[in-house]
Amino acid sequence: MSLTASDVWSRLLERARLDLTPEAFESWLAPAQPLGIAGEALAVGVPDQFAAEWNERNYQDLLESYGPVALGHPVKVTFQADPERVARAQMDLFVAPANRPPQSPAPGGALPTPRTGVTGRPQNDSFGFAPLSPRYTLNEFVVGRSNELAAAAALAVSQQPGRAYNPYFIYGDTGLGKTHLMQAIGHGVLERNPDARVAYVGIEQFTNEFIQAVQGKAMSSFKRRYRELDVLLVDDVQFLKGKESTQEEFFHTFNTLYEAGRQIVLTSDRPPVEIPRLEARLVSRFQSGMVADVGQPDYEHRLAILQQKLKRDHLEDSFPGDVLELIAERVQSNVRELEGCIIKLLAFASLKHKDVTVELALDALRDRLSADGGSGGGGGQLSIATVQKVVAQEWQVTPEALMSKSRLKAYTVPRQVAMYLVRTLMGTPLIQIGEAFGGRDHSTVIHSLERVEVQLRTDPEFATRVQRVENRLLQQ
Amino acid sequence: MKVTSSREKLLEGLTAVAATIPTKTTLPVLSNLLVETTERGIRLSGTDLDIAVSIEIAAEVDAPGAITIPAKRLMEIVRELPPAPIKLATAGEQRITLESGRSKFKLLGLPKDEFPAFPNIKFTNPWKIRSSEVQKLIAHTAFAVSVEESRPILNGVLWELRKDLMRMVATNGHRLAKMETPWASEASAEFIVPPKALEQVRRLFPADEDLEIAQGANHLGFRSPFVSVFTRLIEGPYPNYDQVIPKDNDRIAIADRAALTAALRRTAIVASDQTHRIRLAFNTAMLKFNVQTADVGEAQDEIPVRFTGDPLEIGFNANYLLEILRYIPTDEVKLTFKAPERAATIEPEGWSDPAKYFCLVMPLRLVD
Repeated sequence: MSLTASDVWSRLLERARLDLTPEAFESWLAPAQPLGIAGEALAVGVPDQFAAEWNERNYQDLLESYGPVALGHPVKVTFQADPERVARAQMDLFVAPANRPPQSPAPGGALPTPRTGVTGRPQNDSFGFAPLSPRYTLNEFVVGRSNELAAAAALAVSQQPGRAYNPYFIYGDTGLGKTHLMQAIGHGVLERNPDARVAYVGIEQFTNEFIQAVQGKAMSSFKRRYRELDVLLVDDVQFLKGKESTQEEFFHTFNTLYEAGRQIVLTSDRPPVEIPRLEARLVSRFQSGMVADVGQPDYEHRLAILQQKLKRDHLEDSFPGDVLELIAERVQSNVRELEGCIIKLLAFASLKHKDVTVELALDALRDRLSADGGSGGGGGQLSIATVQKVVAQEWQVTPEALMSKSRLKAYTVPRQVAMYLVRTLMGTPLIQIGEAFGGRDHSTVIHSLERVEVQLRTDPEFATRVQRVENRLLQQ
Repeated sequence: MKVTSSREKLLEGLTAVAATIPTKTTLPVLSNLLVETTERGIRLSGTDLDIAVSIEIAAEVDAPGAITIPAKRLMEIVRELPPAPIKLATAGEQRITLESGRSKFKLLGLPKDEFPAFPNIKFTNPWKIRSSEVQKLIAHTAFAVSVEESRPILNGVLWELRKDLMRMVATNGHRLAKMETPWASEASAEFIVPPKALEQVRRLFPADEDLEIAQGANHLGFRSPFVSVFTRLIEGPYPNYDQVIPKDNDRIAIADRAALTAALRRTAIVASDQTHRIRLAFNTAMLKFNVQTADVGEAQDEIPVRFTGDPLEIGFNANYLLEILRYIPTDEVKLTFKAPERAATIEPEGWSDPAKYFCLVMPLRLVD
């Protein structure tokens, strides 16, 4: 099976997002929609001719250069004004009408047929929820010892939604496949019954919509929206902690659906009882159905995951078995990290024009392959304590202040910088970083990393300061 | 901090800043306004991170200082107080008391340090422009910006400063408004400015003041002796609008603006709620209106016009025409056309102002 136009486009976008400034990405590439693919030629629709010309001039080469790494083959990207817009009765200053020659003919010759390429989008996205990711199906899920219970329960739920296990609660560390399993249930239900109303939301989205509904006095439409679903998939319920009125509303939504025999699936990074500041009645509801965990994959499982990833991307032939075994043996943290290794290795091989071999892998993945096969953490002799000490020195605070609860700016800035350096220099998992900095949540760590990244881009003085600390650490 | 100001001054300042303070935000300090003492009184500031506004008002300062206070609450309290002096005093970093006559309030604030810093813009060599000139351009163009998320560049107003004129242009792709006014300057520059910020510039600066305008890395600052407005800029490029302005429109109609507006408003009542499609037929002395909407009904109307050129039938979204007519400053309006599927222009007729105003509307296709 070859990739659809939207698969291809989303893979190219994933990379472009990293290489472009957020402003450029949001202004020019984010609004674009894939139209269709024919062989290696991808046609992309944009709002107007001006955007098409601009994208072609500025981003075409960049996007095409991702082809070999992101897709495993070259790709040709052309932009054109979206045919749907060209056909509108209201004419547009910057969209040439169909019956006149366009202001600048799109290069690349014959364009693939419009619109048909957009597939994999469930029909039920019309009622306002984001579509399920087409990659997260049960077929794509690699089952191993660490997740066989969770996967079997997911299959049962998707075959008999609302009856087998309700609610179904999946928990486990980040990057182990909770979201994948949950969305797979959605796909399974839709496959059997394409008219089912299936919604996937993060608890954050639920909270935001709830707040907006309260402020906009639109509670009744909010309630209708959620309480008329057949399957509700809710990701990351641990973020409900402490949000009392959201918990209250969620409780009622939950009850209404449950009593009507509708399926509810929840995920969290920990079991229900361990979610802090979650009302007891919610904890007991969450536990009332099936609770299953997904754990770290073992060696055979990791190998199978790698093979599946290569098969999906049509790259089986470019990776010798011994390289896969090396990665499976040495990278033990999570599935995302495993997939990251494949991508990095491909990029490295394509840049150096070499085949993928064990030597190349050792070279390319130095930072990710721990020599003793230890946990994904420690690279080199750096320790978190050293980073904390050196950063504290630079900002003239004590290392204890970095671990304290204080939110004074004098402490938060160096604390965030230290987290950032631990992450970038040592690759330590977020949860571990959070623990080392006074038991903070991993989402706090993510926020800190983002803050530093933004400031690095916008504040040259800050950037040199961080660079100075980094150099000092690298010399140690 | 300890200050005393009149209820009127305080309310005036709060009203100026409040429009910029976001109603919902993930960063709690943004729903607060910053109060700081200055040499002349107190400065009130608010921001939503895209736009920042500050205004200085007269006050007696007994002790200098600064704090942030929940803006909505403060404004509601001040609005409900009778006209009398109001005393504000901080108690520690986070508490503030407000007293007026026998009324007493204690409010929880947040320390000044948590308030985001304003963009760093140096006014060392600013552009100096009469505020009424900028406001005139804003009032006549900003309405035309796009609200479509997928065309972020068109979400802003293009502001061009040239040697002998300055110009603002806004469009959503379907209609465009452009106004230019004579202005002498050495430097040439252009910005794409969010309309929300321009609305504050239009609203807050007294018309007869000279504005100082300066540019930072990705921001623009406007200031007068008492008021400052800062805004993030939209990163360009802006499409080449000149390319789409027709130069060879040879059918020209002159109509009475009020009569044209009235007829459009009447007939548009039966137009489709989605397209607002209305059909105009021009010939030598008459403009005929014709609306036919399945499921709704029909309307016909006509008004006298002066028309030169071959007769023409053309379709439009009535709302786009009405919106532009609202901003046309003259009693008569000039419309020009080339063909039913080409851009039409709308201009004031017989305007004696040194400024030039020009609008453009793309037709709706008349599919039968």
